[in-house]
Amino acid sequence: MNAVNNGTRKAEPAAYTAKASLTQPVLSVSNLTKTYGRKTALNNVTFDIEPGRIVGLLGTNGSGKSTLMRIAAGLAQPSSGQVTVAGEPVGVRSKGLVSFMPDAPVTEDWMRIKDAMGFYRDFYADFDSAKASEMLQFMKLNPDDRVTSLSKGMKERLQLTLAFSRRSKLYLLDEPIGGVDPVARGKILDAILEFYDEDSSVVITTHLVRDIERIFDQVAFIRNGELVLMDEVETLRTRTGKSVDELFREVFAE
Amino acid sequence: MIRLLKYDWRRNMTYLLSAFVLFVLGELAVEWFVSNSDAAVSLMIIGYAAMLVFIVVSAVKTYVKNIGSSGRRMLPVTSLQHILSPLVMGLAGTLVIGLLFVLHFSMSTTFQHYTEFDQVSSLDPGSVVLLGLSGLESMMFELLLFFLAYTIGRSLRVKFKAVIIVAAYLVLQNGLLLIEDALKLDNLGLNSSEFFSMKLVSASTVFELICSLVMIVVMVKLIDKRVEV
Repeated sequence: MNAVNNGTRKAEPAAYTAKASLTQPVLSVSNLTKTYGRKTALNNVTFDIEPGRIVGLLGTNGSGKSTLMRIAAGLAQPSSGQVTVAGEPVGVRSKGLVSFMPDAPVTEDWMRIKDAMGFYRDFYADFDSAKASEMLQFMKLNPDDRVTSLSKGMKERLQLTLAFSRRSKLYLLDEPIGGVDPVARGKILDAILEFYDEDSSVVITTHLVRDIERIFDQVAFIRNGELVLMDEVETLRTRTGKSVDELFREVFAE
Repeated sequence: MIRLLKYDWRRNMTYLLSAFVLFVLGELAVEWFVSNSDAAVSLMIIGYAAMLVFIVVSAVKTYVKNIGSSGRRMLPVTSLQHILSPLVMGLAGTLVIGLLFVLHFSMSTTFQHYTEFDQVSSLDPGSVVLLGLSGLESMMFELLLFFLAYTIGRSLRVKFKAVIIVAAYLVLQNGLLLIEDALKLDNLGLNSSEFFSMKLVSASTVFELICSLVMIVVMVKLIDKRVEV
């Protein structure tokens, strides 16, 4: 679990960052291009994510964020380029290393919350039952509740609980706070800070930057399928004197 | 694969068990209350056919849902397992209905008046097992045709996918029949008199088994490379 200071992560020591740069990237994206017919969703995207980072993948709707996530999670195939997770090319083995929270439900209508937990326990070797119980309490979720009876905010909490109940190398969260009320949003962000492992990395896509920028170590801006900026949040703030939200509005201004 | 099968079963359990109970009650009602033996046999056969159709629909729906669902596709399991799980569920359902038919047939007095079924009585147990396996093979072949047709449609990013799926099914079904005819293989299962003609493991069966393997390989490739969620 990570140190939390008034809801803001403590800055990582410089030595840790330097050490991290010598380790194998948790996620490595190299010359990734994805086209759908004549439309280019991702154009020659390249970046690495080191262990222990919370990275914001930011962009407007349709910028290619979710496509990148789905490729990294093994749900879509690149047109060209390569994606590896902890050195493993995306495939069956990398799926065991990635914990993906898609924007669509991963549960099924017949399930109760405990069934959804059982489903994850059955398929993922890194599922941690103790962490799952702790998260259920934190999220105020009742294991006996039916998934279909949950509100949208509670469903998002469940999705996050399922994703973070695994001890994964990489967590990919696709719009975890999209469409939920501010109370649920705060709870979800607190849970991310509370329950992610320091040796793993978290990539979060969103366009609701103001609400979430406090938790990022690093941000990447994607516009029309191209990576237009990627840097440490503290470096950006120092260099530009602006918050991530202000920069986002500048970069994506129409 | 067993774990996938467990969750496929749990998703379909309520519908399948409800249908099964209705089916058993229906068969018992026909057995007890329909006195005309021709009508009784027809109704019984309709009941079995309806239950088999229900099983096919459940297996196909399960396959469709699984390869299009994020929750299933992000699991660390192979595409082959995603295909085999609903296939095995469909075959297990068919086997249960088949065993029930044997039980029903051995106890029913109505079937004894139906001459086509009298031929079954003359078969030795080994032949009955082979007959059952032939039925399962036919079911597997049909399920794979449905699965492959859907996979082809799902792998294309075009409008009117439903039309493509239906067209793919018709082309596959008729294309394979044409090849079977061209190779002059004996067709098993289309004609009831041939069905009981003791040619239980035919060249046609071998042809269908080879086609089934090819269909599975094609589906695995399509799911891995083309079917996105």
